[in-house]
Amino acid sequence: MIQLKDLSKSYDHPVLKSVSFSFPDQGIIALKGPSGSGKTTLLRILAGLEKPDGGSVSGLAGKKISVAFQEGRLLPFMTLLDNLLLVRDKAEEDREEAIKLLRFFRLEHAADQKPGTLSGGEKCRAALARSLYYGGDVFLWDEPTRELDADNRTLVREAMDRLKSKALFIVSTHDPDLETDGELTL
Amino acid sequence: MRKIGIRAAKILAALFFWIALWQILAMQTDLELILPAPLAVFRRLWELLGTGSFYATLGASFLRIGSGYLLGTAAGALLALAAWKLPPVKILLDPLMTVVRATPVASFIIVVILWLPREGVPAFIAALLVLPLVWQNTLLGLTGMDPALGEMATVFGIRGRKRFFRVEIPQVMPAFTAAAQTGLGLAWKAGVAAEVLALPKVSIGKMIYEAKQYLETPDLYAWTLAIILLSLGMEALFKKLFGKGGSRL
Repeated sequence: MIQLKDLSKSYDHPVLKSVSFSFPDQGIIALKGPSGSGKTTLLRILAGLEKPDGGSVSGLAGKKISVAFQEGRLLPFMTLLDNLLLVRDKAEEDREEAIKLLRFFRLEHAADQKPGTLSGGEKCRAALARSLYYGGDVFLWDEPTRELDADNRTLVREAMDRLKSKALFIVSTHDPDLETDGELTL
Repeated sequence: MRKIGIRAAKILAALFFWIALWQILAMQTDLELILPAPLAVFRRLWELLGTGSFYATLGASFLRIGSGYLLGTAAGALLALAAWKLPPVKILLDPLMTVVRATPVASFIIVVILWLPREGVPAFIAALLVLPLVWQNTLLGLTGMDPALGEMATVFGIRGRKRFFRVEIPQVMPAFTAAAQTGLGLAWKAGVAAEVLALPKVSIGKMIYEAKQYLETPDLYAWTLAIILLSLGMEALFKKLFGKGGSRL
């Protein structure tokens, strides 16, 4: 179980103020709150990209963490498929799985395209596909449905629903239709 | 295809204009010693093309300057990498590179003639001209890498060689190849200038020097034309190999 205890983080102003919360091992937990409330900061701390100023995070040891950044962060000089294959060591053996995921996110047509040619929504879905392809015990997804239309938002929810019994999704979101197992309001 | 044809026609028209102007000026001066007519130069180049020594001279200069260019490019890239990884290396190299960039090529050539055997001078000069250019651009590319992509690599556990070759190097390649391409022309020009002053036994520079000494102006122009053509050919080959901004890498 991942536990946050009195977690705090400031930049030029306080972002997280004494946040405590216990995440279950599986399920979907939504991070809610207005812009600037610290949702992305919390995800970055959980991903190991930031250190908190105070408090502690426990229960992450030994867990594989997979991230989908809000802006996608795909390598612009690689095709979409290669962006997925890059995150696994024996990628070539798992090529079919990567293609299957792209197909699931309706990106099969763009597998050989570079990210520069894709729309914001396509990049967002590609980042989610990459996160799922990498796999993990904990998925940290930052605004995964922000740039998606209703159809594609359903896809993202479906992906989480399929896996939520095996992994934990911590998702910063404003999507009112996302059914969650709990939420943390910041 | 049609666009390429129109572009080629435009280039040919511009070339024709300048050659015609050259012809008119040559007819006006009517002094082959100063300005030979284009036809005389092309004829002399054609004659040279039929001799084995032309290719031997071209090859010797190409190898000499090319090796300097490759050495300078490799050293520039490696030193940029060292400066990026180790800040003291950058502090140490910064003033040296600034001085090298600001020093006139002629001064370097004269100094290097005193240091090295004449055969080595053009290669050294070519390397010296390319090195700071590649160093600066590659370093800019390295420091300008997108930190967001670095974080992406970190969270997906992309480390070591894989990170270097698949995430970092491709981000730097456009800056590196731009410098390497500019450096190609620079190295060639500076290398021939060094040959003119150092006079290696078999070299384009020596042929240019002798043409000037014996007032064989068409020869001087023909060799210059050969240098221009070779330089353009190398640039075209470079673009074909590496694409625009290294996008093929």
